[in-house]
Amino acid sequence: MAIAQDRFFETRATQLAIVHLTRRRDIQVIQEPYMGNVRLDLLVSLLEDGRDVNRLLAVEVKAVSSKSVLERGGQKVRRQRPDLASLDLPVCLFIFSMEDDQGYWQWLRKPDNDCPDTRCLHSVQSHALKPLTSDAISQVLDTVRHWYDRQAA
Amino acid sequence: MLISGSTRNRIGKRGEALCYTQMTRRVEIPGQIIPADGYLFEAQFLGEKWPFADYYVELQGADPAINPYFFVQVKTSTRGYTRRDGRLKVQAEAQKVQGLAAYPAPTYIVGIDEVNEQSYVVSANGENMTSLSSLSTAFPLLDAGNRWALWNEVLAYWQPPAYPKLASAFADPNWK
Repeated sequence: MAIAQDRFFETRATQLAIVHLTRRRDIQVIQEPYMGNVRLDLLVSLLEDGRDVNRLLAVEVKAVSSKSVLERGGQKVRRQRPDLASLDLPVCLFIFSMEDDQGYWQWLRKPDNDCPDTRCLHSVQSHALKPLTSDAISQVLDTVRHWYDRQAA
Repeated sequence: MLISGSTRNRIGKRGEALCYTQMTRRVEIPGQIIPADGYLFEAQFLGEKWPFADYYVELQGADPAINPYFFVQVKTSTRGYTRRDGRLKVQAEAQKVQGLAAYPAPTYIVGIDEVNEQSYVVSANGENMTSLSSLSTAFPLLDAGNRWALWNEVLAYWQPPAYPKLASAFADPNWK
């Protein structure tokens, strides 16, 4: 029973993430893609004038039964997915509480747009989660877009 | 699986995600004992090749000897509501309505207002077999009471002596 509920919760969380992301028309969302050998939950492609220009953000999605165990959900992802640290692209974590469908997020691999190396990404160890809002998603995408712009310059 | 590409594909996938998340949302009603910790439905997307139904939905917390289920067709709209009576503007061809009603199980249409992220359920159990150009908004899925009533309606269908006739509480009296 516990396994079936976990799988159900993960499916719900992924669909909630899709609802949030597909509010935007300037991205494409790909479910369950692979980057090399690393399986991802979602891959977001930032479009330029409606075209796919290979500007990618990986999104790891997690469900927790209630808000009281949110942090534990984030810690679990770090423990269970060390392969995410090997990715050469930005990675975000979206966590949803199944109690009320509220979403939260944090960086797992954050672009460092102040670093001289234009491909600089930091694996974030902080457990702080922020509410997943439309503004938050805009900020994430702006940060990712800026990171790619620096490489193209 | 790519979500987006054409606008039509993006809106369709978004509608499916909205239907799934709102239908499977936890039900909590003060004073009511709700089974399965409030998670009343598990839904499986059937894929684009299925002609009439988009989701197969199983009741959770019901007698496992019965394993009650129903089918859902999702209709996603970006066109808003009719001015006169606030019905959601959707399109469903008569052939699709009839095909859905022909399943030997309870069947429903869920209309999705894609812009405002609202969903509405109506019965498609043969009360009306014509095409649909707008859909009643009397039964929003986000209303926990409607999800609870839907669960009970489907459960009652699969128990004698109701089976196999269904008189649904989600009938749309102004189906047009």
